[in-house]
Amino acid sequence: MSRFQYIWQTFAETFSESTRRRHFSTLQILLVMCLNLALAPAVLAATGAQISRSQAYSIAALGLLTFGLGAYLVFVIFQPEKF
Amino acid sequence: MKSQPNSTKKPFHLPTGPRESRRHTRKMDSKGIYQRALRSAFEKLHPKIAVKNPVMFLVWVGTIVTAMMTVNPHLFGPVAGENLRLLNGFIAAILLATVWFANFAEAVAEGRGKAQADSLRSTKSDTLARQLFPDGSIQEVKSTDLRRGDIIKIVVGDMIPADGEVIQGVASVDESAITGESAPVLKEPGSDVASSVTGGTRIISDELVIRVTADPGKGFIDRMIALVEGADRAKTPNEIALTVLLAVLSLVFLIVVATLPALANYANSPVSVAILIALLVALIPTTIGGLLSAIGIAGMDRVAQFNVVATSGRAVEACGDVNTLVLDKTGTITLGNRLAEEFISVNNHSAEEIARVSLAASLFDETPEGKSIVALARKYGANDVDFDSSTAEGVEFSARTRMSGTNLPDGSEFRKGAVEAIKGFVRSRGGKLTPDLDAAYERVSKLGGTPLAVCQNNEVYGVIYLKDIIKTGIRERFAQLRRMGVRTVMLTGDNWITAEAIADEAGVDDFIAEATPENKIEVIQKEQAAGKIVAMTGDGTNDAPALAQANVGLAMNSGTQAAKEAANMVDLDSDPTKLIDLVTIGKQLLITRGALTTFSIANDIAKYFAIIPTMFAAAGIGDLNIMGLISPNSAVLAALIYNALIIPALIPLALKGVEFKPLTANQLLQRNILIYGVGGAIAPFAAIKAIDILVGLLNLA
Repeated sequence: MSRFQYIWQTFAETFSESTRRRHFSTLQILLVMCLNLALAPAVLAATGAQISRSQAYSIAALGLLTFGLGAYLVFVIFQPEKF
Repeated sequence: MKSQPNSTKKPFHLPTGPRESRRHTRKMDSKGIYQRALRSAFEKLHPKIAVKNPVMFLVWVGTIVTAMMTVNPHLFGPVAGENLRLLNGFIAAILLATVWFANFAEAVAEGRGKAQADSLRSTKSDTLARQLFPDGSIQEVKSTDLRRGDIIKIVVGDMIPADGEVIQGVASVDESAITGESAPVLKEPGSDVASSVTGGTRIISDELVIRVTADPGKGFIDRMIALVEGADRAKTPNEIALTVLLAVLSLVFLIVVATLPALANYANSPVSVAILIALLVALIPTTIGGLLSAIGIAGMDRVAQFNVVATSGRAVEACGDVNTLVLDKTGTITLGNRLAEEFISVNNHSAEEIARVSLAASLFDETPEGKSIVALARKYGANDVDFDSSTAEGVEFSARTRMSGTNLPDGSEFRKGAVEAIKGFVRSRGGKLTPDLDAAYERVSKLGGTPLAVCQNNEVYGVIYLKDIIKTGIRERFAQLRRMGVRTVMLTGDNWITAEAIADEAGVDDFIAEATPENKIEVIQKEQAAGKIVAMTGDGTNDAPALAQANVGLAMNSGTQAAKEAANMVDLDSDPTKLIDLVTIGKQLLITRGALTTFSIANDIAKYFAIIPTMFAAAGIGDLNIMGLISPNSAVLAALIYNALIIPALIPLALKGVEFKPLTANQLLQRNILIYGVGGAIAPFAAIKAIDILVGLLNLA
């Protein structure tokens, strides 16, 4: 099995329907961390040298958390009977 | 509807005095409610449970972020200031306390329901039942093995193993386990009001054969347990609307707080994330967010304390919105038992003669009315009948014939009943009617009594005056309902003159005379078509369609299974007057929710004035610090401490409910805005100032 095939198989297993159902929260955290990988450098670039790399990651995570809370509240507004 | 009440019906306890004094609580082990709630409040911090309350979930997430900032105050970038760990630690602790207090309020309300469920569960026990088989054999089986349709025999001393309908026998049953009422209730087959038995009650005399009507786990007590525990508590329409409002407010303030750092940096007043979280928590409606579910659960609990089982919170809330009350006259407006007051002779007959005929016609009448006629006849000197009663045959009352009486072997027929029915009876036998019969009929009707004509064969002897006694205090309660905008409609099988006299005396807004069971559903549909919310009570199988049609259907526990299934509430005390109490409980629930929502939103204004001016003092808005708070940090701490403490301070009000006043919706709105709106805006100013001074004295910030 080539390296590419191995990575593809692992990816497919990770995001398969059954895995998603069993490890929903874990997968969500993984996806947020992946997104943070992309966002944090942008935050660092925007603020210059005022903040450290770890602070950039924290700010990006806080931004994602705020966005997530906003999405959650929108969901509550449209499906209030579930809460 | 019954024009002749059944003899097995329990006597009514006149509901007098304030509503609280009529509260009838089952034995409930309230010990340990608070200990359980303390533990449960921590369990509710689990994210899966916390996510169900949007406002408190936001606070909970804020707690975690500030806790992280306590460990590393510069987690989200450099922050100016001293003692940042201490300040962040305080904020995290206060936020945690806010979430915990909200969980505690809900846990206390749930705990009361659980305690009631436990007391009910103690009445359930696996017993052995004697199952009867078609071949006549009897076999002992476990109560959990009984299925719907099985026939069982119960003897004195036995616990009734399952819900059922009596098909044979007459016995006294102790229902105190579910009703709290110690007086035994007579059970017999074929009667609308006394043929159903409940599993978990005990037979204390004779024996019964019953047909099981519920499978294991689906009986009346099982349903009650599920309801009071709140296991299947669905959100009511009002709660859903309020949840949306709270989510919208929270989202708006989340956006405001998230965009604030950009403005703050522009104004050279950078704000730390911990302070932003504190601002967010101070602005979102945490008070009502924390108490919302506790108010709903407490409303259900208040209904249960009146010995009424509601199938859903929706039903309790609907009580508060009721515009029209459809009430039976007998048992609700008047005392159930009408008593014979006077004999009015007609057709040149003497009072003694009518007494003799009345006695003969009532010989087989076992209703309280029939017995009172016999007693009055004896007073008039008619001590005995001049025939052998063992050879006579009783004619039972029916809604179709509207009369009852006695037939003798020689062909003589004694009848008593509605005047029109007796007129028809006499005419059909070739008799003549005299004008003084109509005069006697009108006289009795105008007095608000029920006239019963009496005849022997084709000869009318006179009219019996059955006196209807209107319950004491009922007029005042109808006046109270009118002030709240609730219209009362009385339904009665009586003639128009009697109905009008009673309606006038009782003070109802409208009445339907000579009503049939079908009239009930017609009245309800007519009112609902006009956009009204209708409540009604009922106990018979013929009431079931109307109970299902009404927005609030209150069935009597003594009623038939069909009535109980159709209604959305069951009164365990079988007191139809309780519908009036339920309307006030429903209104109290809505008023409490409205008052605390007003208070919560008004509070936010004060918290806004406490935090914003001190936070942006550097931007030149320090003059708005009208409270003269010591520092931005002390202002934030003071506002948050107030925010946390107001939740436990309001728990008793949320559980007990705002004091109920019989006012119109407009008056209530004005009163609420004045007390909870204006008061809610002013009170925090004083409280935050006091806490700020204390924080300054303790040097906490």
